[in-house]
Amino acid sequence: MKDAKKALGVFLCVLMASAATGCSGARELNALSIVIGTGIDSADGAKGLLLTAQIVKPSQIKSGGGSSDSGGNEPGGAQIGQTFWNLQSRGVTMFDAIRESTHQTSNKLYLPHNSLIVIGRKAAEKGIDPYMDVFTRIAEPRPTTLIVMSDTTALEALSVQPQLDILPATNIVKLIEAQRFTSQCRPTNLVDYANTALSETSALAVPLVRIVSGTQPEEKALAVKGMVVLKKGRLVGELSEEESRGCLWVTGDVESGVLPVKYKDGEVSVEIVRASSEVDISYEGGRLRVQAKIEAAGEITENTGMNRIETEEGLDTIAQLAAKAVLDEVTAASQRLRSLSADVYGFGEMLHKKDPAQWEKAREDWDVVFNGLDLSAEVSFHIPSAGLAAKAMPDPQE
Amino acid sequence: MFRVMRRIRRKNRDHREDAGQTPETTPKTLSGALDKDIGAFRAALGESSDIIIKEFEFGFEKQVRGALLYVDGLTDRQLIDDGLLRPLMFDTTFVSGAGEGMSDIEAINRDIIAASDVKPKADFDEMMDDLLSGNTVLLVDGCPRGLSIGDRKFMMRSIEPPITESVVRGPREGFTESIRINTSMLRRKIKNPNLRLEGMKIGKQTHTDVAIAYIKGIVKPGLVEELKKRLERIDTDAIFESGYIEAYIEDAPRSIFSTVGNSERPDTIAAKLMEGRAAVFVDGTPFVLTVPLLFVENFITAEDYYLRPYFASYVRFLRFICYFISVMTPAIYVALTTFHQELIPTQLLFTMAAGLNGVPFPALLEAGLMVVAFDILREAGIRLPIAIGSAVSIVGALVIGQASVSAGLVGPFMVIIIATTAITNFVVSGLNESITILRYVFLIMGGLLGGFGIMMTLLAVLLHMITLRSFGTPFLSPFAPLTPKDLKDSFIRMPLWRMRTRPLSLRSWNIRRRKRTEPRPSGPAAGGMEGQGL
Repeated sequence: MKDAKKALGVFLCVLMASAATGCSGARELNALSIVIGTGIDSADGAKGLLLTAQIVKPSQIKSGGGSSDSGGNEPGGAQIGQTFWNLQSRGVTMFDAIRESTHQTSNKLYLPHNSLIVIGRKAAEKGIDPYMDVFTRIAEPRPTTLIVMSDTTALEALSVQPQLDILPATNIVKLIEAQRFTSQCRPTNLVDYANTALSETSALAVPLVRIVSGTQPEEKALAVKGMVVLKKGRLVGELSEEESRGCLWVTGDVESGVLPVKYKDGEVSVEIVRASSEVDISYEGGRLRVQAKIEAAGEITENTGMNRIETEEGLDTIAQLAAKAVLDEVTAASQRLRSLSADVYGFGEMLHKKDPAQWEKAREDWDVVFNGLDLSAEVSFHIPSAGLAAKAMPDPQE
Repeated sequence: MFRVMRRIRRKNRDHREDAGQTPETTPKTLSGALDKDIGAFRAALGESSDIIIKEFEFGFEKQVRGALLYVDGLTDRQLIDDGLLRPLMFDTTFVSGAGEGMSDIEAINRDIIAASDVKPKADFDEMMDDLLSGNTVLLVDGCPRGLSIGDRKFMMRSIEPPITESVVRGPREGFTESIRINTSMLRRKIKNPNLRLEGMKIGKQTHTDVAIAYIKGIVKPGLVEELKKRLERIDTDAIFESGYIEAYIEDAPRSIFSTVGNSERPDTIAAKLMEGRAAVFVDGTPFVLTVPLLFVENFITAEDYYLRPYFASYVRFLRFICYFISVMTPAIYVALTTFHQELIPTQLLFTMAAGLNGVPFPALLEAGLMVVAFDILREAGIRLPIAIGSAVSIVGALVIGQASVSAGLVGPFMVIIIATTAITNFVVSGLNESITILRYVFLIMGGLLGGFGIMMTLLAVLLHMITLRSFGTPFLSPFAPLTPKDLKDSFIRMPLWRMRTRPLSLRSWNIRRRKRTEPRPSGPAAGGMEGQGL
């Protein structure tokens, strides 16, 4: 009996103690403003930070999913604003703008599912650091949130109704992820941003998103076009698609992609299946030398010429041509980055780790040192076979 | 002098008996005078309509008087008529000179009665017990001892497939309500002189037959003694089901977990005895108790051992998962939707949020409602007659599954959660009771404190389980304390030929089950055509 009373007492204590928390921190699912994408723009005036929050309308997604099949074909984006709501608010700081949004929406913005931060061009030119700090400081946003730059404003990029996806933000995320098939752009997320922001020397390369016109009149679509370079948070220049991949060859981030090679009278497509890079860095006598050993392998996926390519000689020649193409991209990228004095490669950090003493000498004047970068790349390209069509198409000369 | 006084006292008390008192004044032994003995039985039994007392005369020239007493409906009338009355009343008539020995009960037993289970007895209480258990009592005038003839025969359910533990492959027989039939089914499984069945009677009023079964030489040393001690300590009026016994002998009476196992399958009980456990048969119920009980036993079915080890292990593992699903899913769902929305995949979050659009209740209340609704349905389904039961489940399924969602009372995901919980609930049927209780505890803690609450509750439950013992065996063994050798029959079920030892955590005698043998063809010849004939 005594035990039973004691047990009951403990039970009641636990129950009341937990009830006393009053479900603090509890938020019902239907009382959330789920933000799937954010955009940052710059505006004139005292409250110069402009936040675009793409809030999901779950009920529309469910019913809109079925109707988008028929609605998607209609020109003019009649569906815009149905599945999402682009809320815009201003603030002196970003967090100010985030809270400011409660004037328009009944719930606090819920950021953990924010998958994307779109930077408007004007904001990038002014510098993105004041916008980004809040995303790295508060608990809700994920470190894996992707960062892209819009050619115009963030709001415009977030307003383009995608053809296949329901939400513009998810569309952009998937678009960026699909870039690994060409390796002409590297996805950048908040961790990358934080790493470069904390580094003295590194510059950040962010995918660039452009609004292009679609096949139908008045149809708009988004396209990824290379990357932009942000140095100390400010936009300094753009990299073309080839230059972007030239940069990725050195950092070893190429996963896949196509190298069109001219061979005799035709074009041969080489698909990159594997690539790796080994970088040796040194700083001697005021000169930064980087030796990159790039190893890549590819498959021949196309041959429009009438030549036999499946011979050893043919494959070797094509491999050398492919290596040459890689080298061209690497050189183009390094020239461009040197002219921008933007260390997108992260050579500064590499030197710091490898040779701290030399790094002390170089860090003072890193821009000058990087300008004089001597990047020599050694590319070995390996093509094991000519694809499934082992024999060439009928050769009229034979 | 004393005898007279006792008689007077008895007379006084007889009146009290008529007033419904327990017979305390019954004589200790038979007197030998037939009228007096019959009177004593009559007095003790009152005017019960099912007691039959047949007085008759027998022997040479009908010199001897005798009486048969039995309870109508419990005895074999055929045997009474043909095996007792006929030889006594008619056959002895023609035996010349039989009159002399006719008052000798031993002689009657030896020469006349055509029944096998006959015991001469003098003790009145014993005779009364036998009589009420269905024996026929034969009293002979002038003889201070009577015969107790075992001719029990009463209507009972025949052997049917066990309802609670059905199998696809395996014996289809289940225990019945008769302890004798149940023990005979066990004997048929284990034809071994070491199988011991020690009987006792428990319950001051019901005198329920209880039998402890164990295998001498295998059973954990001390277990039977401890079990007997606990059974003898039971001080109660009535035992109607083995659950009564369970409540009195379990180690942790206040725990939500039972530390005494039960089964209505003879093969399961036989297998458990073979592992070194002891069983308790109780008359009147098909559920036989086994001790000690380990937590892991709840996840084991008889069929596991009849199937191939791969599938059996898979199913075993599945049951563990189902247990956690059944206990935790509503709590995890509530915790996820109210505290940890960031853990839900984005797309799923959209659909879930869409489903909850317009649902008026917080997730905790919503889940609580549905869990209660399910429990009501289940209870109604069990209690109602089968014909109505199906109607209830159809209505319930429609109301819970369809109408409540379309009416906007609960979200569609909650229905999935409850359905999963409900189905998994029945996978581990042995833990059904604790699952239901734990589900509520987890749900409330998960709803109030989120993942933290769930983890704290899990911790508390595990701590409690670790403290449990069942007849000296840790409840959570072989996991805690870890007994690596016993893991062969826990999450997985190793091939039978690999299970060479009995569970070490039971500390039974005679640990070794079998020699190190792996089945293989007996030689090159056995692989050929000739070998197959062997």
